[in-house]
Amino acid sequence: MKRDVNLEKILDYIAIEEAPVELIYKWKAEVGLQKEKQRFYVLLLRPSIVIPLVLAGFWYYFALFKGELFKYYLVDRLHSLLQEISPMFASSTSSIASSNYYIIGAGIFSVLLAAISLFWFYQGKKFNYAVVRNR
Amino acid sequence: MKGKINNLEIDIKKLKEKSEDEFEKFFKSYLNRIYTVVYRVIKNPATAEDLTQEVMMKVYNNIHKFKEQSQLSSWVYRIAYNHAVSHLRSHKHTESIEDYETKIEDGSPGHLAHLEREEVSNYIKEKLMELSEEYRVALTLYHFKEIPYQEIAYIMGINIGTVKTYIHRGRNELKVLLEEVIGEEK
Repeated sequence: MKRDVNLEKILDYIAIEEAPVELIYKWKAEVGLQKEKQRFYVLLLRPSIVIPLVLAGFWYYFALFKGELFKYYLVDRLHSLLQEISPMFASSTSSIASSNYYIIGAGIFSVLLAAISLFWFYQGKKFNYAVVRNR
Repeated sequence: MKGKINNLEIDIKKLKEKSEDEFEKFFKSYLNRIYTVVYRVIKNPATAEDLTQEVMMKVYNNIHKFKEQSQLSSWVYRIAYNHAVSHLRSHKHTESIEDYETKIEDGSPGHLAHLEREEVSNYIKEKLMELSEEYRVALTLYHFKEIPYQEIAYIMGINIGTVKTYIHRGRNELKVLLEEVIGEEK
């Protein structure tokens, strides 16, 4: 049995499918997530984070893989330099050098560097959020 | 620059400034059409939803690349079409296994004589989905009503002559598929 159907009209009628409206909300959520990620990466690229990381990278590279060179500069050269400035500094570094605990010095220096960079980071954080929000 | 699409005032400058409200306005009006383009290629509603989502993000992230040489809607349909086609090509094997089918239980023409308009529409929609991908997309875009041949050619990346051929052949193939159902057209 045939029906009288106008194909063109039916095609007009069925041309557009109905999509779930949730897709709009999902899209909005994804945009929000993307913006958060961007904020995070922009903050990560701040000099107050990158510079200490690069410096720490150099520091640990020399400490771990170029131990002799590291020891020479940190202990022997620094010792002679400090000796020129004050014999008091020189005695403390010489004790480190003699006990071979130069890695302790490296640790103290790293902690100091981290503290300075954290201070730098939190000082500039407020300003940076403002910059990112205005992007 | 402001563009008026489907009585919808869209400020393209605001879109390029990533105004979420403007995008929302645009997507609210065009969501069904974008989804339809993807669905007609993919034939699987769940995958079509995921891909539509990806298309929306693609449009949002690449709006600065829109050169305003075509309609904004056509540019978006083109992205949707290309995205769906490339997905189909990369997942051809799995898609063919998962292919979604909405066949009605008894598809015999005798049965169709008793069906209501809505059911006939669904049956025709099924048959439309049996056409080759190019034919059903060309026919669909043509029946969106607002898109001229030139824009359909731009969306599908083919020339106008081919678009006309696809529409003509698609319509004829559909008529053959529906031969037993449809009587004289008015």
